[in-house]
Amino acid sequence: MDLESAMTIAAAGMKAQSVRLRVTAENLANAESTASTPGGDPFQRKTVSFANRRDAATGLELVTIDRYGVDRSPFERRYEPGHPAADAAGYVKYPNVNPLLELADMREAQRSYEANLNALQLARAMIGRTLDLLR
Amino acid sequence: MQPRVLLFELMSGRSRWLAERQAVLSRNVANADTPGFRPRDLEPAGFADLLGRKAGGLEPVRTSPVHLAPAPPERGAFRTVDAGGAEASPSGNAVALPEQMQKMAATELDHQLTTHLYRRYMALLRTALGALQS
Repeated sequence: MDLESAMTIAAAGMKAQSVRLRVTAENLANAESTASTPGGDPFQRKTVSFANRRDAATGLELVTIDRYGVDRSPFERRYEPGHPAADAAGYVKYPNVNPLLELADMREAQRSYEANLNALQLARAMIGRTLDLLR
Repeated sequence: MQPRVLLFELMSGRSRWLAERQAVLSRNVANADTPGFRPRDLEPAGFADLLGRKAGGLEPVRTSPVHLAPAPPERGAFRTVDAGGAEASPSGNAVALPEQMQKMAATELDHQLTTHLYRRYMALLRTALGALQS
């Protein structure tokens, strides 16, 4: 039935957005994760990309995770000679995570999640009203 | 005597169209952050579409029993059209969430109207049957 597939599609959208939220939380949590060895590379910002694909089990086009990637922008270098991860010149590489960007991304994920939830509730109300015809 | 009551058929066709539209709009909302995704919408259904009939098309005639029978007309297959505006985000996504929400709300209201009409019509028939009993 179409209304049930509408609910499945909206649920897939919610799942995709929650994965995005998870990746964002990972980035935020690791905003200060430096390398464990002197001069090593710190945590690299992760990205996630979506795609609309046909699901073999249901025959519906659902939104899925296309791929996980990493942000290749340069790391921030700070002069901290006392730091255990400092290189020979006394510089420490910090992750290329911008907390402001992550917060904006998080808010966007939340908005999209709410939109999907709204779609699901509407489909549910329509199914309920059709069933009410029996009464 | 069988009166040709098309109203029920018409209303079920209408709710099929509305349900399918809701699924298409749900897909647009789910893909609101998918790069390169263009939103779709159902083509407005005409009277013949809702009744699941082709309006005056040509059909091959079977002149021999070994011919393959023509495929039965497809029910519930409405055409989808591209509904993206000219405006798209840098990732190529053209879904505008407010527009999709508005369309979903309109679909829901239409569905409400259809079910109310159905209920009213049923009440009409019940009244007629009740008059028969007394």
